Formats: sequence, structure tokens, C-alpha cells
Amino acid sequence: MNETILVVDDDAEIVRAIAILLEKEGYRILKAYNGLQALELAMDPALRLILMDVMMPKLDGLSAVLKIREQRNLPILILSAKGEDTDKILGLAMGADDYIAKPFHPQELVARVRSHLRRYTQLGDVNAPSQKAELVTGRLCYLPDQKVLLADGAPVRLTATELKIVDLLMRNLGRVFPAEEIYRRVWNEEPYAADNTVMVHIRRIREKIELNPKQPEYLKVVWGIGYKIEKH
Amino acid sequence: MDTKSRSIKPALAFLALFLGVNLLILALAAGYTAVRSLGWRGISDAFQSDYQNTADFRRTISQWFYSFTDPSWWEQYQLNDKNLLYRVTQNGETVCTNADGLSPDALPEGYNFLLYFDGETVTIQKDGQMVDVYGDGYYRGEGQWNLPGYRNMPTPESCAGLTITMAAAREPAPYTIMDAGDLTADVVTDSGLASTGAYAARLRLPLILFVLVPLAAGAALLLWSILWHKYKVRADRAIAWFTGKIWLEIKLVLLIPFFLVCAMALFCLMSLYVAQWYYTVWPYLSVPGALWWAYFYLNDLRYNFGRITAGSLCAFLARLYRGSELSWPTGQQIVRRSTLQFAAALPFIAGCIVVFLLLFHPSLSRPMVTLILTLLALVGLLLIAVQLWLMDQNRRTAADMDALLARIQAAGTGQATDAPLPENADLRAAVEGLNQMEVRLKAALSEQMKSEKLKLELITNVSHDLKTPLTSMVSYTELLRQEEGLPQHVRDYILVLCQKTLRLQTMVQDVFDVSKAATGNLPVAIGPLDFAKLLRQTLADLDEDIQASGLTLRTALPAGPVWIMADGDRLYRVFQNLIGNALKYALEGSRIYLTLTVEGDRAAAVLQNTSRDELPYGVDFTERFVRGDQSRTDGGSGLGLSIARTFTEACGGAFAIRTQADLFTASVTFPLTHTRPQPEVTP
Repeated sequence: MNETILVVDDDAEIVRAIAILLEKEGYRILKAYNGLQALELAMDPALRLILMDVMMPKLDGLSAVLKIREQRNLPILILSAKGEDTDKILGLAMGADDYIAKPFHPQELVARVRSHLRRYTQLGDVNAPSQKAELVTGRLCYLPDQKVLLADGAPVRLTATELKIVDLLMRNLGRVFPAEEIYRRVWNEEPYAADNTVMVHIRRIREKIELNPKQPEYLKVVWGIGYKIEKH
Repeated sequence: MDTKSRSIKPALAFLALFLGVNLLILALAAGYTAVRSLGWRGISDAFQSDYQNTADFRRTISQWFYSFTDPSWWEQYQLNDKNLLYRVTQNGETVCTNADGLSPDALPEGYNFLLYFDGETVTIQKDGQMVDVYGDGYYRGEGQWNLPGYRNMPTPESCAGLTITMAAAREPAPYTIMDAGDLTADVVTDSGLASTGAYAARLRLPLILFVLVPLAAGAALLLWSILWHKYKVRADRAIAWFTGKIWLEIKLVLLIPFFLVCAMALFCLMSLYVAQWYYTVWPYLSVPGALWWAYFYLNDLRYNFGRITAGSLCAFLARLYRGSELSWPTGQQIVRRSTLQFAAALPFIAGCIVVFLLLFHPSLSRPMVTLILTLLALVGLLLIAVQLWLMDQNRRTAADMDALLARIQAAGTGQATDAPLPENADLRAAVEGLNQMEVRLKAALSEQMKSEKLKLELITNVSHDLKTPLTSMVSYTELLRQEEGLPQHVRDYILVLCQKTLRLQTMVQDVFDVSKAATGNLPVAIGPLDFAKLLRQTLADLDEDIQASGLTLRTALPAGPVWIMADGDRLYRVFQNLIGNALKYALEGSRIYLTLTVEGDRAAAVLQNTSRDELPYGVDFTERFVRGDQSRTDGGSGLGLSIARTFTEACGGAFAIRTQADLFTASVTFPLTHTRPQPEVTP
């Protein structure tokens, strides 16, 4: 594929590690160590994605994102040691597409990069209007007629039960279903140990659709109430 | 100015005023008396050098004139005194004379006064000059020539045909009856001219001594004291200082004799006309006496007016009482005041009884009754005044106590107060102690808060700074793990590195969470949730770990919903930690009990497990970094229970840990709620 990725961080070791990880995946890497360097390299026409640290000398990451957004429409992923929700919201408001908290798991980083690139390059613009028959939330796309779930455009292999659960939750995006109701609808039986049973399947679905199954972004537990697929 | 003259000059100035005023009073009184008794003429006579100009002389001459017109006198008397020469003729014949050949045309040597009566009117010549005898012709006594010939004093019939010639010596010689000729005469008569001037002249010295000298000296002294006004003022002040020491009551009592003296002085002044001041001088001392007495009162009023009541006996006694009161504690003060009130009332009541009995005594006269009753009324008034004063004192103390209470209350609630400081020294000291206590408490609190904040900031910063190198560690261990063709033992090493890095990551996150919660920066989204369902979900979520642990988990959860208000994510974290903790530390093969019970309006989730290790006594497991095992060789961050507690409390619940022998019990309690989730969330 040889897609070009810009990695920006003032810590050279982190840049190097990320570069190695991503080069293994076959990407071409540009390296920058502060915001100003990032601005120069961001003008490379071959560039497809940017990984940007926040706290950097000369020009901080968020300002750099703002400036780059004026010129380029490509995925920008923020890397930051500030894991607060408010920092995430600020980063996304500045025009970033995703926010990865340090210390990140290398596999998750790679998965996110891949996910964003696939959506960017294969599906085109993230904001492109979707077909009517599709149910889209973030990187998930469900085609109810074909009973197919696409993650980053690639079909996910689900068992019959898993598909029933996904079907229910994707058709009612954002709605919370108690375990008993999911059990009733999917198994067509009176619920017994509903939470345990449902949870087993949910865990499996997560492993197939989530980038980091331990910190799910889509298939979520609403504690004390039920389960839902988040609307992104 | 040296100190001596500093005290002498005011004294002199006052002395000058004192003497000056007194001398002036003396002079005025003496002068007034002299004028009333002697008349202005009498006074001017006293200072006359020529005796012929005195009223006495004229009176004497007038008297002799009438003697010379009396035929019986001619036969019986003759003047041997040659100070007065006379010749009386009747129808041209000399009827009596002591100087033959005396004619009005030529006066003998040594005589300068001539009176000639021609039978109708009198002409008088002095040193050859005519003297105006009759003026406008009417006798009024002014000229003091009591002679015939005025229109209102016609010449008597007997004077017809008489001529009288009289001559007076310029300087009368003293007449003595030891003269040889006198002894032979039938009747020896002295003209009295030699002594006429002497009477008036005798008044000269007293007038000078008692009028003129005092007048001049008094005026001079008064002028002096006016010139030395500033010293006089200083003297006034000094006198006021002395009079200020005198109790007001004494001054008031002294007003009675003062008014008596004033009345006396007034009486003296009004009766001055008849007074013989040189005989009865003492009553007249009342005039300057009253004046100076009044001066002392006015001077005292002028300089001590503001301190009039302070300088009274009552005030002195009050000060004395208050002074002794200060040495008593506040409570005692109030008790003693009540005692004093009672003690003051007792003799009054006794006095009333005595007076009541006395009133029936037959020998008691009416004025006596009046006097006794007046005295009783006065004592009663005094008693009321004392009672009022004590009441006021008690009121002040009560106000002070209120102020103290207000301050204590304010200190208790931690509010600032503008309650006034008590006047009472004891209570003031108490308030000051309270204030100091408050200040120290605040200082200690702020110190504690500062150190706590510093600690948490440090934790936050450290956990934040840890994340950057941790990122590199995670990344490079992952790279190592992906490396192929490594010997098996190296792969084992890498696996250890991976595990430990992961744990380090968890610990850093825990530290970060607990520091956020402890600084109050943990965002919580409180909403209604089913506590029982949350526990079931959590158990389902941790099912793999529970299965892997080999422990048995016994649950007793209500079938129906248990609604509470909490943040689901946080509460999940609480039970994740609690169950994780139990799995980690429970005795192998033992049972873990999780129960949820509803009691009253509270739901309590209780997790019990038997500890593998002996639980240390007296350890707060929810403190940060506290673990049962102090050696810290196990895997936890030591923050699990701390996070559980802070998260529970952040959600509004109560968290408690109890240990009994090896039984470890954690309970999470929440109040029940009637709020339900929004209907569109649940189908």
C-alpha cells in the first residue's frame, strides 16, 4: 500500500517505536519532533494520516492541528498523556478525528491507524452521505437487508446469535436494552441468568468489532440498566 | 521660665486679683458710706487747706452772726478769742465788741475775712474780694451762708438799726482759756474758729486710708491681674483642680451656707445707708465672702463641668465598688450585685417599719413627722438609684455575655461576626482566647489543606510524567515481543517485561484516578440505575476471572430492581475493584459472599471473604497505598479499596470496611430513589 503517515512527538524514542510498528505494517513514515516541523511536512501531497502529540515545544499539537485543518482534509489522530475526557473533547473540537491516550497499546494504535486509513482511502470522505439502507455508526456499517456488519468496510464474521444481537442493537442505535429483553428477543425464551448469557456474547462481539475490546467504543454496557451500541 | 516662677506667677496673679477686688470692694463700701454720711462737700472739706472754705466755718460764722443780733447775748457774753473780731452798733452806738475801732473799711493785720451787715443785707469780703452770698436770692442751703437777707429769709424786725462787722483771722491761733484776761471776764467764750478746720481735717486720714488708697491699690492690682491674664487662668485651673477633688455632694450641701452669705451680703448692701461700717465691719465681710464663694463655684463649673458627676461621692463609691468587682469572676459579680440589692433593701424596710411605729407615738409633733417622712423618702430615692445602677451593671454584663455567646456560635459555624467585644475584662479575655483558637484552627486547617493539595498535585504530576516513558516501554516491549528467532529464555524475559509493564500501566491509571477523586476533580454522571442489575452485570463481566480463580462466589441479590442514584461507570469500577480484591486475597477454595439487601430506605451491598493472610489489626484499608500485606510483593497498586471508597463517596454512597478475625467485609450503601430512567431509554 505504501501510504504515507506523519508521526509527530517531541519524544524521539516514541516516534521511532511508532515508526517501526507502522513500517512493519507497510506504511511510509515521516517524522517530526515539534509543531512547526509538522506544519512543513503536513503539506506533502502523498500524506494520508497524521499522528500528533499534544505537548510539544515551539508549537503545540492542538494549534498544529488547527493550522493543518485549514489546508488538508485527512485523518489526524491525537496522541496524548492527558487522558481526561475534557482533553479528548478539546482535541476533537480542534478538528482531530481520534484521540489515543498514552500509554497506548501498540496493537490498538496500529488498528486505529488502519481503521482510519481504510475509511479515508476506501470509503472516501468520512462525511460522505451514506446509502439509505445502511445503518452507520462511526466505523461500523450494518446492512439490514443482507444482514451484514461491516467494520471499516470489511465484513465481520458473526455467529447467528451474535448477528441477532447486533441486528437488534444496530436497528435501535443508542437505545439501551436490558439483558432480559435481549434474551427474550434473541432466544425467544423466558430469561434465565440473562446477564451472564448475554454478557458472554457481547464479549465475543466486542472482540470482533472493537479496536480495543477492553475499552469498547461501540458495544457498551450501561451499568445497572442494560446494553447498547453507541451512536457515533 | 523656671519652675519656681511657673508656680509663683499664677499665685501672684491670683493674689493680685483677690486683693484688688477686695480692696475695691472696701474702697467702694467706705466711699459710699462716706458720701452718704458726709456728702460730697464734707469730703471735699476734708481735703480743704483753707479753713474759711469749709462748711464748718460758714456754719460757725452764721451762728455767731445770729448771736450778735441777740441783745441778751450782748449783755451776758463777750468773745475773748481774737480769732473772730466783731463790733455791733445800734443806731450808731457800739453795743458790743471785742475790737474797738473795727470798721468794714480797713481790716487789721492778720485778718482777711470781713462780714458787714448794714441792717438789711450782708456783704462778705475775702482778701478784699466780694463773696457772692445770696446767689439768685433764695436760700437753699447750698451756699451754707445761713444769713438773713434772702427773699425767703427776710431780715428780722429786731435787726433794725443794727450794723454788724465781723473779721476772721487768716490763720486762727488755738485759743486757750489760760489767758489772764479771760479769768476776769464774766463769761469767757471761744469763737471755735480754731477748731473748725480740724473737724474736717480729722476725716482726711480715714478717707485716704479706707477709700483712696484701697481704690488706687485695688485698681492697680486688678490691672496687674488683667495683664497677667494667662497666669491668672493657670491659677484658675489649679484652683479648679483642687475644688474638683471635693465631692459634688459637699458642694451641694455648702450651697446652703453660700446662699445665707449671699442673702447677708445683699442685706448689707441694701442697708449700707444706715450702716456704721467701721463699727460693724464683720457683716460686711459677707460681700467679698459671697463674691469669692461664687467665684469658686463658677470656676469649678467652668473647668470641671464635664466631670461633675464623676467627682461625686456616689461616683467614688461606684468606682470603689466596680474596682473591687473587677477582681471577682463574672458569675460572682452578678451574684454579688443581687446580694447588694437585697442588703440595701433590708435596712430600708426596717427603717420603714420603725417610722411606721413612730408615727403613732403621741409626743411626735407634726414638723417632726414631716422631717422623718422626708428623710425616709430621700433614702428611698437613693435606694432606687442604687437599684437602677445595679440593674444597668447587670444589663451590661448580660450584653457582654450575649456578645460572647454570639462569638462562640459564630466560631462554631465558622462565620465571621461583627458582634461587639464585651467590656467585661473576663469575658473579653474569653473572646480573645476564642479568636486565637479560631485563628490557630484556621492556620492548622489551611496548612493541612495545603499539604494535602501539594501531595495530590505531586501524585497527578508524577502519574502524568510516568505516562510518557511508559509509552516507550509498552511500545518497545511490544516490538521485542514481535521479534522472531529469539531463544526461548529471551522470550520468557520479554513476557515478564510485558506483564510488568502492563501492571505499571494499571497502577499509574489507578493513581491518577484516585488523585482526581481526592481533589474533587472526578466527573460523575449521576442517574437512576438498578443496583441489583449492576451487580449481576459486573459479575457477568468478571465471570472469566471468577471462574479462573477457583473460588466460589455466592450471591443473594433481589429479583426485582433496586433503584438508586449513582454513576454506573464509577460504581462498576467500585465492584470490579472489590471483587478483584476478594479474588486476589481470599483463601484458596473458600467462598465469597455478595449480598444486596434493602433496609428501610437504604440498599446495602455487602461483599464478604475469608482472607488468605492474617489481617493486621487497626489498619484503614481504604487509605491510599494500604494493603494487608505490608511487604508489597503482590500485584496490586494498593489503591483498589481507596478508589472504591472515593468513587462510592463521589456518587453519594457510603463505603465501609470491617475486619473480624480473618473475615473481610466491604459494604457499599446507597439511599433508595423513586427516580426511574427516562422512558425512551428502556423499551
